[in-house]
Amino acid sequence: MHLPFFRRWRARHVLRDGQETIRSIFSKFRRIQKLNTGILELMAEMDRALGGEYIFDRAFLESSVHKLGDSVYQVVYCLNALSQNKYVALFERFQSVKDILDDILRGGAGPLASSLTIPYPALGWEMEPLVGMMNICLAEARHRYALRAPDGFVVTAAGCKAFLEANGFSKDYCLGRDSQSLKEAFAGAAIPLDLEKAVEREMHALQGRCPEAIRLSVRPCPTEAGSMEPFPIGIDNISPGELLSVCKLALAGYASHAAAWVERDLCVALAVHEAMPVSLSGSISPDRLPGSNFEAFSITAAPVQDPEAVETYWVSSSPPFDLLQSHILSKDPARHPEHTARALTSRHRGFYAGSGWTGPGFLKTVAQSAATIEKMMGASFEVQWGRDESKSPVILGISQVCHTMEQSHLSADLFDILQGRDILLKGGETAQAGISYGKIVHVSENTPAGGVPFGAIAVARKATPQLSQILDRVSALITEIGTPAGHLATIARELRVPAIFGATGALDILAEGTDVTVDAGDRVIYSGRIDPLLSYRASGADLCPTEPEYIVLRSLLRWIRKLNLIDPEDDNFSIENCNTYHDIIHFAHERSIEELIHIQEHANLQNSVPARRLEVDFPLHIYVIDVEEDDPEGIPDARQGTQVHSEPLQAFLQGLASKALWEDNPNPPISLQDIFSGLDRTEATLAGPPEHTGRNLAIIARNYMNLSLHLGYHSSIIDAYLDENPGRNTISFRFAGGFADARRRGRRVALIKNVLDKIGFKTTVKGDLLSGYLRWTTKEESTQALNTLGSLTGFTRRLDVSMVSEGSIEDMLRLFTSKTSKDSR
Amino acid sequence: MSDSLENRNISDKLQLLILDDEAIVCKRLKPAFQKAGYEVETFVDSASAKSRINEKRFDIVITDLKMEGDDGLRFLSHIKTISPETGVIIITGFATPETAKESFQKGAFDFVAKPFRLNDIIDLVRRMEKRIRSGA
Repeated sequence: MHLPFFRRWRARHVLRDGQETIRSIFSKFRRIQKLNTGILELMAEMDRALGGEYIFDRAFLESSVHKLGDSVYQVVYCLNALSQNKYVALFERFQSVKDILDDILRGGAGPLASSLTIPYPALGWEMEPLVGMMNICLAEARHRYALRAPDGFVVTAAGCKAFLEANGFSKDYCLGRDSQSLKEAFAGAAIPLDLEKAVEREMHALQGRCPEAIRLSVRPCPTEAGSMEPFPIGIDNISPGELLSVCKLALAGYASHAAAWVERDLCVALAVHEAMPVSLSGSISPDRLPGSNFEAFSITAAPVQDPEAVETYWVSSSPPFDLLQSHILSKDPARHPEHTARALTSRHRGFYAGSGWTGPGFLKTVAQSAATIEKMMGASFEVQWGRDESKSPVILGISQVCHTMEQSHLSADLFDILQGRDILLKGGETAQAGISYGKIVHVSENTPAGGVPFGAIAVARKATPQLSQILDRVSALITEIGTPAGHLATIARELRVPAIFGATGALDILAEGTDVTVDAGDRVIYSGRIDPLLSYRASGADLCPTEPEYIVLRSLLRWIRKLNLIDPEDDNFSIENCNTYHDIIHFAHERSIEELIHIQEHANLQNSVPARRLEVDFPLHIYVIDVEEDDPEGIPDARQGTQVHSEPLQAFLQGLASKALWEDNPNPPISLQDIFSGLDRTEATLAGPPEHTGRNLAIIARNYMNLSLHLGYHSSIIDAYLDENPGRNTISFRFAGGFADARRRGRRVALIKNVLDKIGFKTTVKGDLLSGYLRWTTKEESTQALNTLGSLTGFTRRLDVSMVSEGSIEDMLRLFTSKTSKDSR
Repeated sequence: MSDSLENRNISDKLQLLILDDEAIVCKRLKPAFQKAGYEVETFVDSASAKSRINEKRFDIVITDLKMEGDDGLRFLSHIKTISPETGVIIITGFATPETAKESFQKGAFDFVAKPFRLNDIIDLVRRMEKRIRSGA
C-alpha cells in the first residue's frame, strides 16, 4: 500500500528521469554532430593543403592528426553513451586507425608495409617508399589519366627484402662478388614460399585484367625518395613461366651496383608489367625551343632496331601541339622498310627535303600524353614512349628529371613581365594551384566528357560533381560558384588540374575561344600566352606529388578522409568495415540518427512524461516535449506560433494544417475482408508494446523533431534535423499499417513512395513498411520536404480503404497534387 | 655590410631572407617571392642565416620559430641588434599566445601560424614593403 503523497513523489521522479534520458540522448547526438562538423572541416583543411595553396610543415600534419584523433574518439564515446554501449567494438576500430596514422607520422608505410606484392590499380602516390616512383607514375597514367601505359604489379620493397634476407644477400655479400657470380648465386636462390604465392596470385590477376598480356617486362625501381635514376634497365619480353627466375636476375643486376645500396639496405621494388612491343621509341620532356624562350616539348625518336639513329623534334607544349622545329637525319629507307621515312634529298638554295622517323600527327599524340603527365607530375619530367603496331603512342616509363629547376626556369624579370600583362579576371578561391595555358571553353554539368577540346580552359557556372568527367581533358577549370571544400575541388586536386572556384563573372568576362594563361595559385587569368609564367611551373613553388611532405599527407589522408562506407542500407555498413576516420564518423552519424529515431522507445515516454498538448487547427491531438526548455510554461500553440520553437515541427505542421487536405476524400464502402483484416491488426496493435499504440508525441528542439504519429490504424515516425549546414540536415520517415487489406495498404504505400521519390527521398518498401530518408539538402529544401510530408500525412490518413484499384495510385497522386497546389495558391 | 635601406631606389627589389629548417618551406617560398618581385635568399639552419645577416642587410626576414640551434626568437633578437629597421615575420607550426606575445615584444612585425596561404604571406610582405618604402 502506498500513500497518495508517495505515489505523486514517485511519479514526478519517473517523469523527470524520462525527460533527463531524452535530454541526455539528444545532447550526445548534438555533440556528435558538432564534432563531425569540426572533423570534416579539419579533413577539408588537410585536403586543401594537397592543392598547393598552403605552406605547411610536419608540425601541421602532427597537430592535425592529433586533433582528429581526439575528436573521433569523442564521437565514438558519444555514440556509445547514447546507445547504451551498443557500439563498443568501434573503439577498437578507432584504435587501429590511430595506430596506422601514428606509424605513418613516424615514417612507416602503414599496414601496407608488409605487402609483398601490390597490383597497379591499387597504387597511389603515398606508396612511393614501398613501390618506387616509376611504378606509381605508370599506374597513375593508366588508371587515373586513362593513358596507354602497361598494366602490371609490383614486387614491393618488402617482397624484395624478404628474398634478400631469406638467402643472406647482404650488402657485403653482393658488393664482394663480380656481377656474373652474383647472378649465378641469385639464380640458384630460393624464393620464400609466401612471396612466390603472392607473385603467382598477382600474375593470375594480371592475366584476368589483360588476357593478352602473355609477354612481360621486369624492371627494378628504386624506392628511396629522390634516388631514382631515369628508366632503370629491365628485362623485356619474357613469358609468365620465366617470371620468377627473371625477377631474381633483375635483382642481381641491381644489387651489383654500390650506388643502389642505401646504408645496409637495397631500396628497390620490381615492376612487373605487360611488355609493350614497339617499333619506334624515344623520350619527351619540357624544354625551350632552341634560341628562344618559347615553352616547348622536345621529343627524341629512333627505331628500336637502330637506337643510335636519334632524331629530335620540338613541338608546342600546349594544344594544338604544333611541330615547331626538327633535327632529322639523312636515312636510307632500304635499311628501315618498316618506317615510311624518305631520304634527304638536296634542293635549291642549299635546303634539303626528307622526312623524319615520324610525322607531326603522331608527335601531337605524344605531346598530348606528355601534357597530361605534366599536369600529373607537376614538375620537370621525362617520358619514355614507344609507337605500337596500331601507330599509337604508349607510355613505357616516366621519371622526374630533378626536383626543381629553380633559377634556370625562373625569369629574373617575371614580376615586371606580369605587371605589364593584361589581367582579364582576378579573384575566386584556389581549389588546386598551378599554371596553364589554353583556349576558353564554356561548359556545364551536361557537357559530355568528349565534348571539350583537349587542353581547353573550361569555364562553368557552378562547381558541380558532374564536371569531374571533363577534368582529365582540361588544362584548368574556372567556376563562378563553388568552394575549394567541395567534391569537385577534391577531384581537381586528385587529378592536379589547376582550378579557381567562386570567380564571379567568369562566364561573361572570359569569352569562348579567348587565349588565356591561368595562374590558379594567384587566382589570376591573363590574356594571351605568357611563356615566362609557364616556365615558372618548374620552379618548385608548387607542391608536387613527388615531395616527401605530399606523400606523407596523402598517406595520412588515405586513412583519414577516404570514405569506404557509403550506403547505410548496405550489409557492409558495419563496424568491422570502418577502416578510416571518415568511415567511423559516418557510421557514428548514421547510427546516432537511428538511435534518435527510436528515442521514444528508449526513453519509454508514452504516457509517462509531462508533455504539453499542442493547440492546432485540425482534428489531431499532438503532444510536445521540448528538450531545450527547463521549465516550460504556457500552452504551445501552432496557430499563434507560440511555444513551438522547433523549425522542423513548424515546417511539418504548416503542411499538415493545409485545409484542403482535411476535406473528406472519396470514401468507398469497406469490404468484409477489410473489416476482418482491420480487426486482426487492431487486436495485434492493441496487444503490441505501448510505443505502437500511444499518443501523437513530438520531441523537439529548435533544430530537431522526432514525431511519432498514430492516425487510425497506421503509424509514422518523422525524425528531422535542420540547420544551415547541408551536411547535417537529415529527414527520416517511416510509415506502416492501415485498416484495409494488404493490396490497398500496398497501394497507399506506393502513392507515398511516389511523392517521396519525387522530392528526393531514398525510399525502400518491405511489406507495408515504407522507409525513406533525405540527406544533403539545404535548409530551404529540407523545410519544403517537411512541409510536403505534413501535407502527405494529412492526405493519406484513412486513405488505404479508398485505394480500390491500381489506378487509384495515379488518381490519388493527381488529387494530392491538385490539393497541395490549391492550398499554395 | 652592404646596401643601406635608407638609400634604396624605388625600383630596387627588396631583399628577403627566409629561414626554416624544413626544406619544403624554403623551396616553395623562394620562387613564390621571386615571382612577386623580391630578391630572396633561403637558409635551413640558423647558424648560416646568422652569418649571412652579419654580412648583408635584409629588408625583411621570415623565420621559423622552433629550430635546432638558435631558435626563431633568438634569431629575431640578433637581427634587431644589428639591423633594427629589418622587418621580421615569425612563422610557426607551434603558435601559442605566449610565443606570439614574446615575438611582438622582441620587435616582430607579425606572427603567422602554419599552415598559411601563400597569398596571405605575400600580402603581408607587401604591407611591410609599403611601410619600408614610405619610411614609416
